[in-house]
Amino acid sequence: MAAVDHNAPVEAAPSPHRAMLRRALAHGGVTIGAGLLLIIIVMAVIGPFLIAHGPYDQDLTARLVPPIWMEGGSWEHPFGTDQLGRDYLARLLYGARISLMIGFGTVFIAGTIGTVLGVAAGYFGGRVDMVVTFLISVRLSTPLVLVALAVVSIVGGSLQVVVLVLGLLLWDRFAVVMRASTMQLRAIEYVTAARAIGCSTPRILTREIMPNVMNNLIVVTTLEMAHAILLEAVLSFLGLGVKPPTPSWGLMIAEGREVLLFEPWLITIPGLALLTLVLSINLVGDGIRDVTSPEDR
Amino acid sequence: MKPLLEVEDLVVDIPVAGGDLHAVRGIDLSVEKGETLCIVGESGCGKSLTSLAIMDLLPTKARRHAARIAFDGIEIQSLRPRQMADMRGDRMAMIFQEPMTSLNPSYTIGNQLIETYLAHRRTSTKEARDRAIDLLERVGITAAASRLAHYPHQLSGGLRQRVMIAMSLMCEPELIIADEPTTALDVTIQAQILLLLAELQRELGMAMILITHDLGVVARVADKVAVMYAGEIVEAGRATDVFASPSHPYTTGLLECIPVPGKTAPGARLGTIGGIVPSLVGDVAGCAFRDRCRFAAPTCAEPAPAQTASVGHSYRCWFPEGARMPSTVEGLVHGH
Amino acid sequence: MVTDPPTTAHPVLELRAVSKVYRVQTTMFNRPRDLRAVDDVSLQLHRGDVLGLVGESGCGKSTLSRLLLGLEAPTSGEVLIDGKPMTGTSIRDRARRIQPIFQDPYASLNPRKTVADIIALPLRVHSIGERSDDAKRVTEMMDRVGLPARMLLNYPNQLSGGQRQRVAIARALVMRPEIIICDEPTSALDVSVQSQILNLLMDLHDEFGLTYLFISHDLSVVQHIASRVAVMYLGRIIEARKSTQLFADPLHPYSKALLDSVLTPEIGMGLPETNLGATFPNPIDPPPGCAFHPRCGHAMQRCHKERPPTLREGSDRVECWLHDDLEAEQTRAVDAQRSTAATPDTV
Repeated sequence: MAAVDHNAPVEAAPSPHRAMLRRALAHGGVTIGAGLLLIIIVMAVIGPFLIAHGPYDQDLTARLVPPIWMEGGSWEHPFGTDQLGRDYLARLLYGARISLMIGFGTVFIAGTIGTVLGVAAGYFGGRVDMVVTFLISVRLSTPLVLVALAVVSIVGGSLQVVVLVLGLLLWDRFAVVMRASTMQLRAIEYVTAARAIGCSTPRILTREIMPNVMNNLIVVTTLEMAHAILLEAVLSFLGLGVKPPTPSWGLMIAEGREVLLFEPWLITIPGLALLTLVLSINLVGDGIRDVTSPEDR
Repeated sequence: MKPLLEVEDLVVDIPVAGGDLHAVRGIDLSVEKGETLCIVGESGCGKSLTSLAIMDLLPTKARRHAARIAFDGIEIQSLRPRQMADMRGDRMAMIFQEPMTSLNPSYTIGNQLIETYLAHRRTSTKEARDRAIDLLERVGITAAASRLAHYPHQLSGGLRQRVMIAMSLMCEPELIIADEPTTALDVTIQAQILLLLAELQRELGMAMILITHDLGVVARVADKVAVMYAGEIVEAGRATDVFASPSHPYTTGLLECIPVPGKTAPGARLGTIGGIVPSLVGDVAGCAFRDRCRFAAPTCAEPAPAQTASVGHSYRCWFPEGARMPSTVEGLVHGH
Repeated sequence: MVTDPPTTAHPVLELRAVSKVYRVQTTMFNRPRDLRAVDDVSLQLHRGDVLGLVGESGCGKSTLSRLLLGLEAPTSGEVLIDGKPMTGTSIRDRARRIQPIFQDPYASLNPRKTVADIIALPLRVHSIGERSDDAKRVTEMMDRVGLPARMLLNYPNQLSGGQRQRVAIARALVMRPEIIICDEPTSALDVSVQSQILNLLMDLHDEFGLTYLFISHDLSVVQHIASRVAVMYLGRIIEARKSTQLFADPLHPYSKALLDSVLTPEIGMGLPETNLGATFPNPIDPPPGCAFHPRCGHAMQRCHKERPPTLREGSDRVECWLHDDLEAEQTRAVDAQRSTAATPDTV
């Protein structure tokens, strides 16, 4: 009801930022997701310094040691070791770094491309819009995994190559969402007012448009980050992602495949890690969408 | 004569962060056959929720209770949803402000008109179609038969509102509730639509509740007026009485805000009502208008009693018109 | 406010035969067609004028305001400020002299900015004064428009509709422009707030010596505030006269119909019969002859075929065949005299 906002006394209404923070903290999804994500990030950053084993240290005398909760496990290797006797916990923590780097790196590249294209198309319309819409259609009709596989198999897999390839492939959703939300704002009166004041176009785009499409940008960012992390896992699993012995979670799952029937934890541990990371990112994204949408009304 | 619609002590609460929003706070209404009641008030006063409460169309989280909501002697609150749905569109119909959003864009107007009729009447499509054409002609749409094949977006705002009116009339309702039916339209079209409504009402003997913020509309079409402020009816009576001697300080204030050609000198300062509407979240005590009232006194912190100005013309205020003194109460906000 | 403004040599704002044509693609397969949103409009605003611009939605009022603000360029004709053509001047230069106030205070303020940032924006964009003086200028302006200084750091969502509109007014005035384009500034507001904003606009007009183009569909408001009134129909100004004269005796049948449609809160008047049968015509496909003839009760044979000429008398004008015989001779004579005398054209 309109009654709720304009009748509220001035002092009672919190600022938009504070109101959003308050709503975010009250939102179960955001708090759980952000909490999990924070834990994963902290562990990825400081974890490897806290354990004795390096992710590449092989100990062929201690191959396939089961994790601590299984018979024969020891505190020496809480998550056990793999076929080459490498400490699984160390590899897992190091793999978190890889996944996060893939996630952040990809959305940085894809987000920049997609936002620039989308905002330009939405704000300028006309021919710019036609070109961008065409590019989006082209991108949407490209089979994602096949192109990624092909490129990586030609150029050769490495962390940098995977980030670059995914970044160049995953910008479409950014462009679509940014285009639509910019278009809505283009005709809104505060943007017209800024033009009538004589603001330059870059200023209008950065000060008037961007802050108001930020919510949508954040939501897409989280979705695409999760998407990128999963795609990297797929590529690595197929042997076309990051190169061994780099401990990518996807690669760890691939390596564990051979002994799936006898040592299933080799797959379940990185699998669960992947699930947790992607789930936490998605929870944050969905939550932010819930938290910010009523505010725009 | 027994009124067609009687509402007693209607309350609508909406749970919001920080408590309940008391959007409608105990109002009484009655409309007789063939009569036009205008509910007038500013945004957020609860006028639209009142109409939705009568139609049982409130948003799901809103809570309604009333001592009595009787339509033609039937207590609406005790009806099952199915029975209420049968009543809506058949015996009581509603017209909304924005005809574009209240017509379904994916169906032709003919389709929508005929559906409405078939939903309530056992009859053939042919008969429903004839009735649709007949009604479109009645609401002043030329070439009605060919218009049936049009989609809402192909019509202008004025035409769409005419279609809405035709749709609400399909089943010859006894009561029409029109919520700001002309607010989105141009002044020239507004006059035509109001005239059309008035004519149809006279012809069919319908009762009408017209909800508006525009005192100009009220003065021209109302038999009875209810002025709402902060969820309450602060003044009610026959339109002639209320406009001839507005008695609540809010009503007089509102009338002073509007420039009247020929009466208000051009360029002269217009009357204003200072302050803002109080929050209706949580407990609301005393006269809700007191913070903005020129005549507020300490007594006004208590609920205001009903006063009678003349037969059938009452208002809620501690002070009858002659007994008002300019306010000495501190803390009046003015100028916003 | 209705008193005659002091006449200066140049009108502060002038439109000379301004047209704006859009190419419109009606369906995918048709050739694009022309929509004359503004058609040959000539208007003058003198310093201190309040020109009310009235007409139905779609008549070209908003396009006209966008042309004046420099948001769009006219297809033909020119806009002059203080007698100097605006073609070639940047939107920045124009912005210092003409500022808008919009209808919807919920859409006209950026929800992510504080009141202080919103009002200071023009100062920053045009580098007016020292940055350190911004706060002072902003609070001064807020005080002028009746906003308490404690709202400086509030966000728009914390303000009421009336307060928001005051912020929009402060933003428009902080650069001290000469001309304000008020585009339905009170239509979205509640009645009690509307009168406060109108009073404020009238006060500011007197205080700063402003010139207003006041676009509104509410004729009671226009009559109250405007010194001159222009009536627009399908992109053309069909009548422009002093407010008192136009409201007392509208010459064009459309002006009369508009006036008749006004519903004042007076009891016992009933509803007016305007006889404006058909609805607003499609601007892509305007009727031939006088564009108003399909809705006109006085339409004659001639109205169906020929467009009525613009009849001028001083700065008054009307476009209607009904008044042709009475005034045409006289007007033509005056025009001829003028063009030989080569005095500045006062339309």
